[in-house]
Amino acid sequence: MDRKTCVELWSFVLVALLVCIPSAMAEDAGTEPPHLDWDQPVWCVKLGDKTLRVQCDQATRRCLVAPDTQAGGQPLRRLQECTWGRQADFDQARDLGWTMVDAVAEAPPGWYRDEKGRVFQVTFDLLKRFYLGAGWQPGFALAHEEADLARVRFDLGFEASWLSAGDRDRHAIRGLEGFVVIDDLEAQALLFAYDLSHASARPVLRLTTFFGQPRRHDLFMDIGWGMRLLDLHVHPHRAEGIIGLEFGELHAAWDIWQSADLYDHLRLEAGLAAEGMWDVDSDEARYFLTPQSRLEARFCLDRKGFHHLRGDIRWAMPIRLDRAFGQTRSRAGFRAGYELIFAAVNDQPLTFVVEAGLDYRDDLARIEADPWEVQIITGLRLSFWAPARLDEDLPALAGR
Amino acid sequence: MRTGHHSAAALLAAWLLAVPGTPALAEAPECYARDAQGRSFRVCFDPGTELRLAAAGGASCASGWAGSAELQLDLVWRDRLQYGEADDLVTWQLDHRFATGWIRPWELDFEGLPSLDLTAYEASYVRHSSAGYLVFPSSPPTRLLFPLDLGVDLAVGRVRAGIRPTDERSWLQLGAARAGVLFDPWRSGRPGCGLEIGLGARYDLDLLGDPRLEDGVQVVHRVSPFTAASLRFRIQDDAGLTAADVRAEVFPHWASQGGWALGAEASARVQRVVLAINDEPISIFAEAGYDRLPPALDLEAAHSVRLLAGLAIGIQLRD
Repeated sequence: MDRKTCVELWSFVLVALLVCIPSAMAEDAGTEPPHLDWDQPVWCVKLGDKTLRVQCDQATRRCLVAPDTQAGGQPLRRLQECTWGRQADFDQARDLGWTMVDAVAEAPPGWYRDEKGRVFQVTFDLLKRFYLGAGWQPGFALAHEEADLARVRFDLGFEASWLSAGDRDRHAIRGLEGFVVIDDLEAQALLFAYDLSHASARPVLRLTTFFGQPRRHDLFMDIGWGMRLLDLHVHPHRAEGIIGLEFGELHAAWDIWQSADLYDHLRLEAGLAAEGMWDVDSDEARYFLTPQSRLEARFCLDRKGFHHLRGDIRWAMPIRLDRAFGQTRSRAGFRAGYELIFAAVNDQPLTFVVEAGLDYRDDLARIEADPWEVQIITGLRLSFWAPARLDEDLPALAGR
Repeated sequence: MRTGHHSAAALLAAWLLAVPGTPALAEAPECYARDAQGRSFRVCFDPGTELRLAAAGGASCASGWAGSAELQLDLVWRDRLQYGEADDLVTWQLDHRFATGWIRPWELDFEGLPSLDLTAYEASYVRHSSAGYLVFPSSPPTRLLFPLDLGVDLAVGRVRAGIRPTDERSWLQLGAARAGVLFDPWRSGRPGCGLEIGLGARYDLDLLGDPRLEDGVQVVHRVSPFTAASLRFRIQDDAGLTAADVRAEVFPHWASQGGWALGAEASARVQRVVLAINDEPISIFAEAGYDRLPPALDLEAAHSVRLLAGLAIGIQLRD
């Protein structure tokens, strides 16, 4: 392999495997050839030994003509069905004065086809993925004024979310989600969680104002619910020997605000959990019934799904059910995080994650355990699946 | 890649970009408007047919001005019956009011009763004819122009409790009945509009004192033998958003203690719907009331004034 071939190969790898932030592509959009429209019919015609994909617009008497193969002769991937036509028809259209414009074949929504005919995913739905991550999570013990900077975190998780437009619902599940931090082996593992967001079709209040022209203003109250099953926490707040297990949790939720596709939301949850906590060294077991509430925010800042903000503010009051029956404890905290897709490997997005939070809890069995924990996480995640994010807004409400 | 065969001409036709049409908005029902999004909402109301709950605050003057707050209740029902046509068209406007009045639960005056003014049933029935006339049974009969609408005004079961301003003695008045004939020279024939001059009779009982005291409760009967004169002006706009009602009554009467006396009362109210929640109107209102309490037993005549503003929630009883 000579040097030129090597350079071309690496160029191919960089272009084909890495998808840069779409704003860069947008800047190039003015100079690139037009693309066939995925949503319009495509006509395939054979001219000699070449096959062309043609899409015409009668209003402008203009046809986009794209080769049916990649630049290297490989077949195109992810194409729309085409209808075969005759060369004579194509020639006739050209003779009638229709403009033939060199173009690039169509690509599915959320995908992009470059001038060489290669297609790659350019939007991502991070609510549908299985991810693996690694990063740095230093530990800070505020009470003891200590810092452990040499902590490495590994995490994984599965999440899926889908819109049921007819019911105006978004379902979300999470499972097999967890992390482990070494070398103190703080870990968390969630077996399953489900959340339902609902966009009410009927306003809870219809306000009509009579200042000037009467106007109607609708106030909706979008109520959903959710649950968690088996959430294990080992060495919370780096308290060795402590194991906490949330057997189950059920909550009602009010989506104070949510986007048209229910993808982004500001959500208030209130629920009840049953929990246990064990001190391995002293064999002490505690059981709690825990009322809790949480204000959660989730925003995807762009329609292509590259920038994600998440955060929550939470509060819980564990009530002991064991021999100290009725004794209450407190938990509170907040967390904010940002996740950025900066590349995609074989259409699987690679993200940069940064997260910060503060957590307080005085329910740990160890008296020496630090009730405060500063949480700072930064790292990378590789997400699998993550299909293209599509525009799937809920249908407009009919007039009522 | 799946393929198929069609003629090019058909394909060219199929490639035409379709321009979706804009669906026409359905027409809104009467009294409802429809916005650009196709949502309908109520834009006119019937203040004569609704259950109205209100809270008001302001000032009242008895012995002196003081802050005042009260709750109000009004269940009103309006029927308009029409028969005949053209010049013979006759419209009866029947206004019924049930359980109407105000109460101050935090002011306990007579025997633990809060200060209140409630009427069990009150009504006005006004007959509007397109061409008012008067017929004399002469031979031949004579028909003369009669520029007044006729009506009836009545009330039964009124209870008023409070403190008499002059000596702060507990006082309860039972308005057993009031009835009168109305004449309306305005003859507007429009819902909620009228200028009604009334002449009628009324019977009230005053209960004064405290049953726990030695004197107990003393009763004064008051009878107005068609000497009660009233004037009422009421108006509302076509959409029922704004309404005003002013009424004054003077009733010289005979009292069982002290003989002839003069009573008077007046009220004025103006309201405006500013908001509707789920098509039920929310209105702001201002109200004023005046009472001249006639002398009773050893008590002098007294005056009381109410000036209030508040917020009312109406529940429309008819679409």
